[in-house]
Amino acid sequence: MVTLVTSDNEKFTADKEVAERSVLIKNMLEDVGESDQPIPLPNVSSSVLKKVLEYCEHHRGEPLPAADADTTQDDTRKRTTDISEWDQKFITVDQEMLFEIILAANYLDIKSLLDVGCKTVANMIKGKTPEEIRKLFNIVNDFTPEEEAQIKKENEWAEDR
Amino acid sequence: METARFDISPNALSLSTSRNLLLSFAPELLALIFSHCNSNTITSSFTFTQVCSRWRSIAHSSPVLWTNLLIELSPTLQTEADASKYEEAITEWIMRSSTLGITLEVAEPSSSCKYYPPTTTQLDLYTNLYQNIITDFSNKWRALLLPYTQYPKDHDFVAGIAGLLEGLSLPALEELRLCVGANSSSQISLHCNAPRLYKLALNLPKILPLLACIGSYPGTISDLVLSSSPQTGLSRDFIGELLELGQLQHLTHLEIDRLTWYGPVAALPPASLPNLLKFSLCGSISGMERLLDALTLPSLRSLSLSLELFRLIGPGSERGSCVTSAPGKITFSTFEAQPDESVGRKIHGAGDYFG
Repeated sequence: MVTLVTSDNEKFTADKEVAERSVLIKNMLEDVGESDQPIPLPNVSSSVLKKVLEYCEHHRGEPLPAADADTTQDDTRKRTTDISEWDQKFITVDQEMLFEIILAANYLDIKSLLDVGCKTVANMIKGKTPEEIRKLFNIVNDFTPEEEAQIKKENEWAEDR
Repeated sequence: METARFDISPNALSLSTSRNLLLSFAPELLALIFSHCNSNTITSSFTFTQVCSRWRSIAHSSPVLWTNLLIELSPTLQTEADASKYEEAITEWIMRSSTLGITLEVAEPSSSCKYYPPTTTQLDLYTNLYQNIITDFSNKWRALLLPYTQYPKDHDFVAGIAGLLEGLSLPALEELRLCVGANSSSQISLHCNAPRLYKLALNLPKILPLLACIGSYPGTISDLVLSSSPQTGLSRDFIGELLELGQLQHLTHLEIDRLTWYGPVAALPPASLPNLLKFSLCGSISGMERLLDALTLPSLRSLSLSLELFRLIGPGSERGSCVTSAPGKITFSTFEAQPDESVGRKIHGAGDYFG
């Protein structure tokens, strides 16, 4: 078993196999060798780590993606935003939790979880107008007049202009 | 894209309740999200580039987002001036890919003008446009996916494209899909100009000898797809010539759609494809039987057969079956199709094959 300590000082224990879905934790365990020392995760809160461990537990035993998987140019062509049913249910959380999971997956280096999070945000963006996206994520339109003019020019080719 | 991993400060998450976390995402992480919103055409450009200046700047400086480009016949392409502006917009897209190679797909004119057929002027502008783009950025193409179409009948939309490619240096080209043999100027010869080419998909709309279509078949090809129109098919002589070329030894994937020989035909020259792992074949029983009989496939792992009975002639039924008679050899002997099940019916057979 591995003990993990979150930013709010909560301790979690997890099977080594589950915790090692995180490349960061796997590397740390390899570095410290056989030890009962708890692993501090100062960038992950307890509520987020709970979710992350739920994900890792569900995907326990699945092959880990290669470090460079899905990163070639050919892969970007085939890239889809399909998410499995279980993952979809898992990631149905409020926006703040979604973003925290993405940040934690990135920090802990759990590529498959990072992909699920990024695909979820991408799906939220798809099919929306820029104004709808701004509203959804509370983003301010800060374009200069020059940028606005450039965007207008780009949209000359848009099918639904 | 490089894996989007970055260091976040310990304070980043503790501030989460008081601000929108998405705004604090590192550029690499936002670019990763954008890469899943893949649009590849300027006619429906990335909306995320139009949200705020930070997103726009990150998107424009992430070359991997600009490595797939689809050129379509936009209904707004009406004049030379339009074509010039369209070309300018495409050029900007290409420049954003920086040093990365691009997959360029040229859409058939019909795909973007479903409800209003393009005029001859539009087709001329479109043809010039995509040919200029291919020529001007010939060193950028990692894959070229060119139209298979002969549409419309009175406008040779793909005219000369094979000849155009032959004269070009295509140092990054790995994948090519195009129509050849539709007219006299469409023979391809890519042996020297595309040294990295390994994936080739050819559509052959007319029955022609192999060498009329493929001037020089690159021996580097490991993935070959040969298709034809349902009306013509690939002739026995074409396949015979292909086998006789003796340049198929690198093939790991071969797809042939379709063979249209019926009744007794001369045997094909024997050939060994020592590295072929995956083989898909579509056509008549006679054609498949002859071809499989000629081939030795010691490495084959997957065989997919699709039987087309679109022109069954005469009484009786065609029969055949795919069984193994020796390692690496396939014999066709008991596959059966009844004539009254004839026109347009397909029978598919697929599975793993271990020779």
